[in-house]
Amino acid sequence: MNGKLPRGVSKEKFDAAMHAMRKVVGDQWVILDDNPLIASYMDTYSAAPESSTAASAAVCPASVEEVQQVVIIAHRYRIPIWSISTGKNFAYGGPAPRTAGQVVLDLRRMNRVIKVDTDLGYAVVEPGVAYVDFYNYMKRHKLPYWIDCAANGMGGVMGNTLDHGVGYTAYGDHLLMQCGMEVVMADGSLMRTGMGALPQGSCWPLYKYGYGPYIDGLFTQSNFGVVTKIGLWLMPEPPAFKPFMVQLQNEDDLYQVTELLRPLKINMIIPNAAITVHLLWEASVYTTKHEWQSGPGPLPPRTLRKIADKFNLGMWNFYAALYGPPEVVEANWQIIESTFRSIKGAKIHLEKDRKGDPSFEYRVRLMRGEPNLTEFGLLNWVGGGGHINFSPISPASGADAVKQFHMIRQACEKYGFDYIGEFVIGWREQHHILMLMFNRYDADDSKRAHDCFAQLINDAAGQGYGEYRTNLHFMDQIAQTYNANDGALLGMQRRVKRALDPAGILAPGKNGIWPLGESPETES
Amino acid sequence: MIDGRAPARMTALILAMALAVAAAAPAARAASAANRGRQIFDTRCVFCHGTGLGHPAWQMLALKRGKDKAEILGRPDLTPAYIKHVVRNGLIEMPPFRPSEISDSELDALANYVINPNASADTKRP
Repeated sequence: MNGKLPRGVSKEKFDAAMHAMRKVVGDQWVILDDNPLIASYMDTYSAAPESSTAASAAVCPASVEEVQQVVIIAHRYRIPIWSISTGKNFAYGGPAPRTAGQVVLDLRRMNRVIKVDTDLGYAVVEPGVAYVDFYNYMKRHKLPYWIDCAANGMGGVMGNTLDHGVGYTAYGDHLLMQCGMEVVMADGSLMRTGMGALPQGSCWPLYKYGYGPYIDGLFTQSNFGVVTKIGLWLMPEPPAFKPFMVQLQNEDDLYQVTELLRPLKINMIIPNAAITVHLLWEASVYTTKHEWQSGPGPLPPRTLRKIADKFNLGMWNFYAALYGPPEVVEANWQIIESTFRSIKGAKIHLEKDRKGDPSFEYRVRLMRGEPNLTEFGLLNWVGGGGHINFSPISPASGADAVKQFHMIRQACEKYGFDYIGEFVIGWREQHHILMLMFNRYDADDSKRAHDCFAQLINDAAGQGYGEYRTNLHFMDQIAQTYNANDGALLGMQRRVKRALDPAGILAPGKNGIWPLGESPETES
Repeated sequence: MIDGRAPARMTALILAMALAVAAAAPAARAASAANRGRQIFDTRCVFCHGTGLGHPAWQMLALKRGKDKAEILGRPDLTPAYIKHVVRNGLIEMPPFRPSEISDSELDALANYVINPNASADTKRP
């Protein structure tokens, strides 16, 4: 090996641990850093150097029993292990660990859809099931349910759920639709949450809360255990599906569309994760920045207008869909159409209006749970593939949307980047997603992207906004913004960590949760 | 009932069947590998490397190399070794794929399929 080791672990101990893990998973499934295959565990999209999160090894178990044995070995030798499911959480770190030297626990080989119950409408899946695999499984077995996928069709059903990810159907709040977990704890023991704690019974994927404290959330965005199964509720295939787009001509329309949308969401007239998308997000399906500007810096407003005109897009483009019996869909459509027609200049488009349009069609596919990767056209916008997502939460109000839009665009322009963003509107809040695109082969571009992101965290916190999820390199900074009452929340999370994982072997540093005696400084 | 003591006539039949299977094996293996390669392509690659706008890799290759090079299936300038290197290491916008996602044998099948997608009548794309 090239000598990379986890912090505080001697070479002798590391070698002994790897030897023991090989006996569990087989020689070929322990990949050390002298093996060229370790390159496939790099985070290839962040603004920081790949070496800062380079793993010392990867271990790939194929069963829960193997996970348990690997965890016991890691505990014995004090090896930090960073679990991943499909490793395709691209803008957030991909398959790489929080810090260099940690061992990746790669659960991708555990890729079974264990069960789909067609009467009760649920599935139980392992960590390595990708959206595309789940979708193909449902199609292959002709099951009358839709899945709900993230925009990255190669992403993991479990990984996305545990990272609080969202999709685009009426079941788009993935954690809301999760029910029941199986978790390997830091001592190697196996626990089932909720009704799964009964030795017998069939309500594990049906009733979330079981008896006593409801704890599933403790195993999301955390490092308290290794989740090896989850239950998911599935959306029945609706008899009618009506996707639509509202094209807004002016950036200022963001206020009105958000205000009009909120009551439609709260009253469940629009049931799915509706989205208001800025022009450039959609335009990247057709074009790249270099076709409009050869030099650096953000595109000026007159160029944005030209792009909107050329590709028949709005400055904002709102997408949502209706699901259910045709009569109900049509009744709700009358309300929706009349609501959005009140926006001056708004154009409402249905499927028949945009046949063959790739940006509209990929949105439609997402809203009916069909995995794709069209959104990754964004990586072509400046070229070089670099992207990190800044994603603050705000109330679903026009004033907050406009305030965040201007705050974020101002920072982007200061650092020389285009604003490429969207608002994903939940029941009462909205996720504002900035796709910060940069050329990761350009050191200056990467540094500016990193600095821009760091400033945005502070700017947002100053306005009372916090992020819902983030890239490896910003986990500590964001955790520190959730600091009310002298950091009581993070303090509690760290106490839980020390109680459940006293040796600190599970994903040290995940979301700012460090074991006793460790901190970002000890890892740098 | 199968009890492990096959009578002579059955032994001869089994031998004949084994010989027939052995004769057909190379062709069957090739077809199976091609099918496997196509299956991997259709579940891991096609989202980006399908044809036309909406497929980001096709879009970028069309822009940089021209539309005749944007479709990677059957492209004569690609080699299996190059394809395998790119899959394992990534390339610019493309992420790397780990052996837990695409095994070495699957990668062999994938590379061969990309080079020659019409190797078998069974795998000819519509």
